Amino acid sequence: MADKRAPAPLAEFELLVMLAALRLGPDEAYTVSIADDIHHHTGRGVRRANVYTTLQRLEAKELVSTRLGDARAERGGKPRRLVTVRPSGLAAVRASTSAIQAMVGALGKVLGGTT
Amino acid sequence: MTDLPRWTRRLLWMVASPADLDDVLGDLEEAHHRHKRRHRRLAARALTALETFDMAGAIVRARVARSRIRGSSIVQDYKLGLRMLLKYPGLTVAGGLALAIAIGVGAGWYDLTRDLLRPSLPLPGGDRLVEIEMRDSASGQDERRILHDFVGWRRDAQLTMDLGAYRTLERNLMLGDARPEPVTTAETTASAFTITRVPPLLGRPLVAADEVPGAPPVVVLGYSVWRRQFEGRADVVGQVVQLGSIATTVVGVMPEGFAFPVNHRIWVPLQVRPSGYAPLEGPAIHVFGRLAPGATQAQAYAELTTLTQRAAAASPITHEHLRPRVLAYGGESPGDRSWLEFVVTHLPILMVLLVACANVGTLIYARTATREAEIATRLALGASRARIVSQLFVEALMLAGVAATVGLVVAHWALKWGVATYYSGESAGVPFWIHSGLRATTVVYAAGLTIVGAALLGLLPALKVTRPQAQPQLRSAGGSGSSLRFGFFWTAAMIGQVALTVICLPPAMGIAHEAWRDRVLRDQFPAERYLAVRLDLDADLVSTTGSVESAAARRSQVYEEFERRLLAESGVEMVTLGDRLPGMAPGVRSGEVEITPNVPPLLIPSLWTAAVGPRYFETFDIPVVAGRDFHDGDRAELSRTVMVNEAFVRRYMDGANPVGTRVRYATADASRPEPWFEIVGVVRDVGMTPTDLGEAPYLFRAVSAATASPLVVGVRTAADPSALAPRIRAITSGLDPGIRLDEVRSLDELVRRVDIPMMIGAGAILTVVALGLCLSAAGIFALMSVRVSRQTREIGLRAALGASRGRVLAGIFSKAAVLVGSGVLAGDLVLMFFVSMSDEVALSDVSNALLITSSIMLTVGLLACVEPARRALRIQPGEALKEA
Repeated sequence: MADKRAPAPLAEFELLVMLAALRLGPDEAYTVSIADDIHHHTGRGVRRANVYTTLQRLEAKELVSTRLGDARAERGGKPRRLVTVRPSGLAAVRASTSAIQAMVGALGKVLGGTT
Repeated sequence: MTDLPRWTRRLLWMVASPADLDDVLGDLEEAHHRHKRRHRRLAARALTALETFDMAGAIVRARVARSRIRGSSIVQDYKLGLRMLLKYPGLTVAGGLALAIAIGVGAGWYDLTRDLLRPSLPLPGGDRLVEIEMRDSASGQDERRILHDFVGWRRDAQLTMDLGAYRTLERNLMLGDARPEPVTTAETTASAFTITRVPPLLGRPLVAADEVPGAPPVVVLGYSVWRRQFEGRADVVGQVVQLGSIATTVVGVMPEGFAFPVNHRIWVPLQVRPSGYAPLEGPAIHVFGRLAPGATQAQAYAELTTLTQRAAAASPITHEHLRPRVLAYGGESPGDRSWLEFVVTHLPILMVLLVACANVGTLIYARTATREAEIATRLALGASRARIVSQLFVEALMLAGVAATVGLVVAHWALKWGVATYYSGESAGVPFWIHSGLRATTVVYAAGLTIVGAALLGLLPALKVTRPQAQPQLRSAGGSGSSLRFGFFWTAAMIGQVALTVICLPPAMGIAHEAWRDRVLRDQFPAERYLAVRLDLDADLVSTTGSVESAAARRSQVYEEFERRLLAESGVEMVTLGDRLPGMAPGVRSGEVEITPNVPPLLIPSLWTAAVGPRYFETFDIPVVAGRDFHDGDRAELSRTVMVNEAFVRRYMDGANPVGTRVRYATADASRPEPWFEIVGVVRDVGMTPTDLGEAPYLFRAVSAATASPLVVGVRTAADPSALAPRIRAITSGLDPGIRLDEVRSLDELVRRVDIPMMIGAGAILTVVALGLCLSAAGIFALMSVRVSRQTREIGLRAALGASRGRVLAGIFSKAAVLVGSGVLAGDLVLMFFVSMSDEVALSDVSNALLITSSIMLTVGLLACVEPARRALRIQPGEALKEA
């Protein structure tokens, strides 16, 4: 029987967003910087709209919380909506990455020693 | 300072909640700066535009997902809309009624114009069927004696196929010794069956061989006649029935619903001589056809015009002024589908809807203004602009939806009743293409109107109250005070509404007054003592090959015997005839009266005519007040004598004795004037014609039973005439096999049938105008309420500084007076303009009405300010200053 309190599994892009938010930290993670971070580390083009939708979804799942930061000139005087990963979010990231690592570990030879 | 294009911000304002708006705009701004650094200006703008749409889509997707999680917000909107309808009953009733009338009238008009202009025939390829008429351009009348032309068209026309002709007859159908039953019969060419492409249920339809003069008489039965009189027997084909005086063989039965050309129940062949006819020879007929493949109505018209011109060259005396018309079958549309037809169908509806929406919109705008605090709270809690707008739209949709339902139900029943009433006097009944009540497509159309109406009502105030510039004001708005104001548009709408009410009030009051006076006048006439019988004979003797003289002689004989038998009945005092009886709808033509010899005659725009038989005036107790009554010599064909009524003398003769004066009917062609008639007598006004007020100028001609058309018999009884009605059929039995009694009713009942639509019409106009008055009052009330609400602090401040209550009241009432006064003035000016353009109404005739209606409007307008004024006086200076 599955544990009811186990965190919901994250989709691939959700995981990327969560990882970027964790890397950037609560004072720098927001839509634009998260999109840049994913692009920088994975090389794939990321639409900011997708990041926005994903953050909305993660917030609805209570994996992240958001707050308004200070206004910035390069944003036309508008604030950033900064993202903080909640403990439940961190647990979800851990569960997802563990599952991936468990699956990948058995395929070391096939994948060429990625682990 | 933002660099984003303005539309970007507007788009996001529409979709994003205020809580999300700033950071989304910030993201876009940041992205835009990057694009500008990396790309040329145009490319940067394009990329930002793409990103904006992408972001807007993402926001909408996220919101939809959220709404699924939280449950349907639309359902909540509808619940709230319903609560609003109950919370503001005044607006719901007044606004709902206005919208119900607008949507009901709009739907009715749409349905009616479609039926009148270009009905949708329930036949295969029905939209290609046309009706061909011939019109005399000199008299403006239709010329239906066109057998000569029909034969030529059928031979030569290429663009109109399956040309056919018919005429309607009432025939008595008898099977064995059963009582004869009058049946609406189409005497038609066989093409009526080929053109409609409807196969018979049994036997065969009429065929070309049946049209040949001398062919054995045959009949095709309609479904209802077959079921009722022949009990649906399959062996009916081949049976011989008596049709009028002719033994006729049944050759086929048509399926249920088939009633071509109009609403006919049986079909007999119209026998047409192959050798043709002389111009204008033969009976009146109707011609129909089907447009050839690829041919348009305009092309068919051009071809028939050429053929008619050729006929006119050969026979100028009869055809010089005759012009063909090609109409959509059953409709009045004289050409192919055009933008004009579209405009006639839709524009009046949109105008009515717009007027209603302007009226109701004022009220909704005012209600929205009173809800600013609620809207501000919702925006502050994260509701997006789109959310608020959609909620206000749904509220308006609820109001318009309820109103549309009421309007459509009323329109449906009104149309059903109207169609039944209109066609109740027609021998052929309701045409087969007329739909009784509203069609499903009309209901869909009305649903569209409802959504358009709701959009006008709900969206305008909603967009204004939630516009970005208003949001900071909204957020600072407290429980009192309003940031909304009635701008130019709403003030102009209000003035326009007052003006419209002022314009409509006098005619409405006039119509209501006239209807009431008519009613009183008609009540004075003892219509309950008379029985009206519409009598006719089967037209066997007036057929395409028969003689008119013998038919007239037969008619006279039958009437004389009928009259003799009637007078032998107990309780019958007098019997007369005419083409109509007092109280029935009159014939109206324009005429001329020669006041002084050698001076151009005076034109009479509306001359009310009636043809009267022997003892007509005596039977109806209408005394001859000057000259003499008609005698038998006046009924001769070449006699040129008429009688007039007192109203004619008052209006056109200045009270002088008119006996010996000449009158004639007017004609458009001065080279062919109508013959003069000499006035031989004057009778007292009867006051029985609707809307004549006893003042309509009447012209009476003398007719006999042989020439009266239609022949309406008036019977004066000592007691209730309805007791005599059942006896009439017994009286006529054995009189003539072709005799028909089309209508046997008491005159009282006939008069009521004319009265009811008149009273309903007057009532409807009064209701609409009263509603306009209520809406004006409600609008002024709303406007003043909003104004007081906006000026709460100002009024409080003025009160604190010592302004008297009188000055506060003067401030409110003077503004209302200016507003209502402007509307009243505008309405009066428009009305005076129309009166000055009219030849029939003088300014002095309407000055009292103008004064009264202006006073009513001003009073209503000022009364509407009483409650807002009381609110203003209740404002406590201390509290108002504390809020300030």
